[in-house]
Amino acid sequence: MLFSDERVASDINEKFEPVWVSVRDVPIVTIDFGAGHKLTRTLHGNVATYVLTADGTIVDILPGLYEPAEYVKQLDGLFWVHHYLPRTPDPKVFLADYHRAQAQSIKTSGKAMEVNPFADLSKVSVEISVKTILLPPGRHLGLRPYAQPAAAPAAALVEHPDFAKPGELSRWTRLHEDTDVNEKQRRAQVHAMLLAHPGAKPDDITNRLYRDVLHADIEDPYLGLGETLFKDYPFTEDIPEAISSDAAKRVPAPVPDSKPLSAPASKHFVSLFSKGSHH
Amino acid sequence: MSHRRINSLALWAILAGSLTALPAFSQGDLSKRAAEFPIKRLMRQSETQTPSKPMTAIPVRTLNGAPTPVPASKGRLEKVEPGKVRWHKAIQTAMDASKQSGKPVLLFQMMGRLDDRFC
Repeated sequence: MLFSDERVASDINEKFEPVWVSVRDVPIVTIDFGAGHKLTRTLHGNVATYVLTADGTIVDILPGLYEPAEYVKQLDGLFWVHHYLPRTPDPKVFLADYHRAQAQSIKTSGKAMEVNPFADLSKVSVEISVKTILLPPGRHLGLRPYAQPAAAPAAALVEHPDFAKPGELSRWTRLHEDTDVNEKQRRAQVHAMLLAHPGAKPDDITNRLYRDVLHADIEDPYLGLGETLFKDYPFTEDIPEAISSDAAKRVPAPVPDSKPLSAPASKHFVSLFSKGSHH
Repeated sequence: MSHRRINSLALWAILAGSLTALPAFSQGDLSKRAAEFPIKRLMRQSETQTPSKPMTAIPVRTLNGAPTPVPASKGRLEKVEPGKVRWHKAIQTAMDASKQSGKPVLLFQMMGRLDDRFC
């Protein structure tokens, strides 16, 4: 659904070289109610959007699900960060400064700073640095392709949108809440992680991102849910050995300011990205 | 055939059926536990079962770009259109295109597959 949105798709096609990859299968639950009535849903799916340089170095990551307008807005900002990279004296230092400044901004104001577009097109020669490209949160310069026109009233959020109608995804309360958590909590963790791993490529960070930020341990066959699933299960012979031995060893890594992906949006993950007859 | 003959045959059939069922009862109480089929047994069965009709294996794209075949028994092959974005086929292709165009690579990473109905 997200990538079926004309504005999202055209913005991505215009500004990026897009590719999708699967990090693992998503768990699928089927409940057979009998008499041919079956319910199939994905469970605990999650996503991350990386913006990379041509050599695969991570510029930034958007963790989890975003509502379309915010997704495009954030991608737009990252497009400009990537644009400025080769214009800086030391791209590695620039990226480190960028992540440090954004982490600090989220910590102090609850929001990341805006990226100033066209900072290098000024009549006055401007040295490209984090100070010259980042604007205080909420301050916009330049065009925002997905921004709501000033006269248009903001669409009211609804608990149960009609996903068959175009544009309804952006009205979904739960996705809106998830987007908020992504920007105010998970994004700060991402900045801290990338600050600690300068020059990281996706392979260097993916497992950690999913485990510590998105709360889905993709290295674990049970996504870290094994202990919960089998803890009180009475038929011990059915519990996989890996679970029982791991349970004794596993010490959960403390992750400050983290919050599991809210169940509603992750449960409806199937509805968000693909376009098909079922939507 | 006389009634006696028919009754005799029916009796033998009942006896034979009872004897066949005896081993199951000899293992102990045929409890709810046994009736619920242990998960392990079900999993073993599903692993050894082969689909009646062979399914086409579709490669999964991974981070390093090397396609790995999906086991045919996964049953997750119902395909949908992955939106209106013009996706590159592999990350290396996207990186090569980025070198040419100067645009950044957008890597959308997910659990499941974007072109699966259940992703």
